[in-house]
Amino acid sequence: MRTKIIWIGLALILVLGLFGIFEFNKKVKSINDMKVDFEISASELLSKFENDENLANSIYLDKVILVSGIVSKSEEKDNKKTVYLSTENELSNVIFQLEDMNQKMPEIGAVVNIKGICTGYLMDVVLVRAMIK
Amino acid sequence: MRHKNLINLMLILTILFGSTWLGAQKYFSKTGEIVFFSKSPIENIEAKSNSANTVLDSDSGKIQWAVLIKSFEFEKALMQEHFNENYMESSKIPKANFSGNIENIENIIFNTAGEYTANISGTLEIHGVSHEIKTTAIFKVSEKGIHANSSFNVLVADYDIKIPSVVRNNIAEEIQISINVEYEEFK
Repeated sequence: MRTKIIWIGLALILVLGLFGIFEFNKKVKSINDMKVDFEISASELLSKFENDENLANSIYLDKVILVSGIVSKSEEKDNKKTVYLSTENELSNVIFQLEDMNQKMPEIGAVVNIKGICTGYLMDVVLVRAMIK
Repeated sequence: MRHKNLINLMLILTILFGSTWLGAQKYFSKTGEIVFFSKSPIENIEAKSNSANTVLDSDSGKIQWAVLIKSFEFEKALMQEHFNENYMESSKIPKANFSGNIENIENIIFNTAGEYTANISGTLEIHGVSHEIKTTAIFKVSEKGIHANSSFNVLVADYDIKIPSVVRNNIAEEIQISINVEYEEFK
């Protein structure tokens, strides 16, 4: 009986240890495997942050958003791909850092839907690990 | 918070537009790269943001940076979660800022190709705590544009970032911050 308890205890420690190692080393999920939380246009998303940044942060931070809009700029440099969607404010855009460096860059003026994780607002709303749908 | 953000925006806009009519040169980037690196005997941790904003006035030497804490990307999900939720409290304090000056701006000729060392001093605000820092940056001017990079260390404790004792040995007391940017001319 005592030996049985020891074996069960050891097995439990092993399972918990393996689970811990798995959790510790788990990679960040790809955007491809994430469900969209919100769908919104670039202009509307920017205006939410311009009107009340705290409220917009509480709604959109860390959320997966599918944003629609017109490409105003796309650039590839230093091993990063960045796409800008224009808004009604000439000075501000919704900016996406693409997750996959193999993704084809859109043409300026193209109407696109881009999925990304919202990280907040500086002069623009910034989304990372993004993917053009 | 909104008031503070408005002041930040006004400062950036003042640097960008403030003296355009005087012919001053302004440079900016919305895709500045900031990497932080923690080296400890147990593990090395690195995270990168590619979406920092920076503005440089080549006449006055004023320089500003702002970065969203949640824009830092990690390799491991748990590290990213702990960084945002436990250490940086990035939902409550979403940005880090630097505002400073190039002290030897007269030695950097932004319209002549070459490599220049800039002495920079200013205020670095992380986790809502501000400290004066001094560092150097290398500005490389070429026909491709202006590229700048810098690297300096900060003490985690200086910025009131509390690391739980159970993971204290996993995270260095001093973090290396590296900055890389291609400035665009503001026209």
